[in-house]
Amino acid sequence: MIVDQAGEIIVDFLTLSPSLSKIPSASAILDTSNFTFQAISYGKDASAFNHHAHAFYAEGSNAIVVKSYEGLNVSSYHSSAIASSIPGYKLLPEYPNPHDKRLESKTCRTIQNGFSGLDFGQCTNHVVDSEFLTTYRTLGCFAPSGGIDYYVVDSLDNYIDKVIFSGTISSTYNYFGLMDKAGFLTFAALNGSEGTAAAVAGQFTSGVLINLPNNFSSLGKVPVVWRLDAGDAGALLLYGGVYHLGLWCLDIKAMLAEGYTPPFSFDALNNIRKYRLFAKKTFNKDLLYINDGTGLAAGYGGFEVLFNNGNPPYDASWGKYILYQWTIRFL
Amino acid sequence: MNIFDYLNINGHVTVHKVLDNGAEELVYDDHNVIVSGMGVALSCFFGLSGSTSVLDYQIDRFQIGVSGQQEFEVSSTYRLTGPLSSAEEYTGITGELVAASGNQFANTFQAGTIWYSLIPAHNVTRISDKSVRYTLVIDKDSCNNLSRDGDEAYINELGLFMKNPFNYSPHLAPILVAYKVISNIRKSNDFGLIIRWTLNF
Repeated sequence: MIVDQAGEIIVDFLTLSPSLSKIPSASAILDTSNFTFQAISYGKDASAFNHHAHAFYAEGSNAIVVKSYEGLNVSSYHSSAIASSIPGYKLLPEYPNPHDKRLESKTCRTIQNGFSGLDFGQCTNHVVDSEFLTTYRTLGCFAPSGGIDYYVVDSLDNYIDKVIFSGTISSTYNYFGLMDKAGFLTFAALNGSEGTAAAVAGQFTSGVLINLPNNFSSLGKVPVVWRLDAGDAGALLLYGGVYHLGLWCLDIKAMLAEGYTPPFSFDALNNIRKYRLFAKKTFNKDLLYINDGTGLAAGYGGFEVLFNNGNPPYDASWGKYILYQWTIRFL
Repeated sequence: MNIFDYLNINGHVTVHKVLDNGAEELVYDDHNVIVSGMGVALSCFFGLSGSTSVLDYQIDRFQIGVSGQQEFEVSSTYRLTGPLSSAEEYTGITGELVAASGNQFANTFQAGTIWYSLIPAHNVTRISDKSVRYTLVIDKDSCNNLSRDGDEAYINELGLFMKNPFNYSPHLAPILVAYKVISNIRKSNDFGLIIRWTLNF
């Protein structure tokens, strides 16, 4: 769904004063990058932020731990199974609304053991913020670039003795510094033809790409493509899956109001960028759902095969990822 | 669905006669057609494939035509049927319109001397978060006594153009983004016209 703010963004650039071009300190405002797509984000229902791997914290633990309610004896984890096991937990994302300004309007804050996380209405990336050095494993929703162990368990009590399966996952997004703490996955700083060339070459390490088809303008299609590597997908699933995708432009007014001036560079560790939602897509089934009922004995490794990385940090030879393409149609 | 369906992008045109005493008389009031050029230009903008200056995506000019027919009021229209063809037709001897010539992107790049009238920046008004109004002022000395092949010609079509989304250089190639056929107006120096064209996103 293209949300109402998209119309506001278009009117913003249609009504910018041309006289800004004569003011050296302000002319950079007229660069189109201040109004084009600049981030992707992942989301889920608000209540999920206190279930799944968000529900476990132990001071001495240096792992992501999640309880499975399915009595699994195979290496699979269904975020949706939690909903049927915990009374009152529906695991339904908000229905998309043209007035939406974020992926979930309700509070999406994890509160656990006397600490709480950030609330941006979407899956956040606490590990890049030193404030959450000891709590990011609970707050989620991504792994460190150096990797972290995870355990899917029968019970959170003495979990180390109740392991169904386990492994190590690491974040490609964090390895390349592509995602800030709010969970905004940045676009590569490439124009349309450069982005298309990078997409064709499979080079996604600089961020989300515009992957234009031939005669794109007469087709009126702008495809946005990005990769979700195994470790990032595994982490998202352990924290409750993916039920929303968001496409964002910059919120130039908010940044100017805070005293920032363009160019507004992306910095994963200290991102000054503010974003405005342009479009969102909501799913009623986890995008990362896997159903691996036959188990290892039948040659299926489920979660482990799909999402475990090799020894972190990142190695391009791992080669496991999901490729997303989101096409915005202008005709 | 495309962005036009989601956002219900539309427009509205009113045309007023302005008499010497300053009184305004409404002579036309109707919706317009956002044509495919708008989608082409926006895909160029968001596809990071044209100009990198926002100014090239602004609607800074319009055309007046004398051959409008209702059947052309469709989204596939990419140019006016009979646009005014000289600076003199726009401004006459003493008219205040600012005429400018250039190329045009009309399905493909069209080189040539095609005439437009520029919209001053102060006549572009944001009237809500999602609406912008273009006020096109045709003073009483402009666009008068038009003729084609020796016959009287009537103003009956209007078009808004985005400046140069494809970044053609050195000469611009504006693209038609909104189009309207209006009822015939025989313009003379007895009155001016104010066209208020609102686009809603």
